[in-house]
Amino acid sequence: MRKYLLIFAILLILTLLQLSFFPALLGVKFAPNLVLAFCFALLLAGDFDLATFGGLVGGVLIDLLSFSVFGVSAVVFCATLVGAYAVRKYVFRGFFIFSLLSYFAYVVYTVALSAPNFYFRPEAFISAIGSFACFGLFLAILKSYIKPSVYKV
Amino acid sequence: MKYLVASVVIFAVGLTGVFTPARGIAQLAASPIQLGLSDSAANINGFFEFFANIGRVKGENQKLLTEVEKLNSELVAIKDAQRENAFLKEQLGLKQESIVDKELVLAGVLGNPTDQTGASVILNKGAKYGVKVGDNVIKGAHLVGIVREVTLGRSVVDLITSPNVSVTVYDIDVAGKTSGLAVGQFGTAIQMTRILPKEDISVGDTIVSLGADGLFEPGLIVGKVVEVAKDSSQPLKTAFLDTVIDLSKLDKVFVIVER
Repeated sequence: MRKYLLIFAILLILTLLQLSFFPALLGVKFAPNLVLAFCFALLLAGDFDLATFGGLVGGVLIDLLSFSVFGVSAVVFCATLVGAYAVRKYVFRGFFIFSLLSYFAYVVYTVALSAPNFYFRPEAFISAIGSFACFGLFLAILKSYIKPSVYKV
Repeated sequence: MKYLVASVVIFAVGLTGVFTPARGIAQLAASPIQLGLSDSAANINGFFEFFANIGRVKGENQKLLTEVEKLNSELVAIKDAQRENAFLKEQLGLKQESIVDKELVLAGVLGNPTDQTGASVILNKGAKYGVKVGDNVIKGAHLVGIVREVTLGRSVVDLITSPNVSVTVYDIDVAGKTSGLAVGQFGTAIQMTRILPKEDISVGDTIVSLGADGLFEPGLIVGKVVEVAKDSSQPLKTAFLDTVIDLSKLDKVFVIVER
């Protein structure tokens, strides 16, 4: 129970930073997706259950504090994490290929969000680089705290 | 997998609007923290920008000092004109401008991270302060946008650079009042369309709202003309406008609300 509360507190801080601090610091188009990066780090650190819990809580928090359709971020985050878990388990076990694939999936996701007519936006690539840098940082921190007992991805 | 199912259930229930009050309360509670974080980030940004542009700042300072002298002399002339204008209005029994009858609500800009185009922003004032859908948002004499969505403590504003926003406008620098329709271009620029071929419009002209659409107050500055497209195959002319104020760096704006 304690670790779930801790994850909730971390996600609350990350959500506030993602929605307020980084957009003002770097611009809306370049701001990294901290919540998704943290959930991916949880997944890669070996705790699928905690990662999808993070996806649900983080998504709900983002939807609470923004004006998107309520629950849509939670569904997108959870589905992305479940999909990534399946891909990592059954298709690409190598970390590099998986990371590369996730990177491009995130760029497509950001571009799709940014414009309904799907036109190219170079900012999506830069935002993805930022998100990936955060993901790497979170993963490095989490690796030392989480024992991959549930499932080693 | 159970959390994915839970998220789908939340999404389905959320479609009924049952979470709207909770969202309003959460946003109201988080507003001060978010505004504080946003301000801190803007300050950090400003600090680095200052050092990056210190050479340019020196030159600009010199230029501004000269401009201040020039403006001071112009101010005297304007004050004379104001006195004359007030006298003439009194004589003619003219009513005040439409905006004077309304109230201005000062609002902080929180940005809108879920809109990657940068064509909309969230304000920290909502229905609690009398803000309604359709209210105009301004900064000084500049039109910023129109309120699209309102909750108790917040509101979403479509900026004039949003493709969802169309404003009837006219060229204030042309005697014939060249008019057209200004439409946003995905947060990047504004396109002024439906300009008759015989009407004059030039680069550098100031474009202001006409008010004929019934959505926007008249006389608010929309932008300056940066390019006029002259395509002989097209029956109507098109111009491209740049907003005079930087819409990506808004911090405080005013919402025009009905009293």
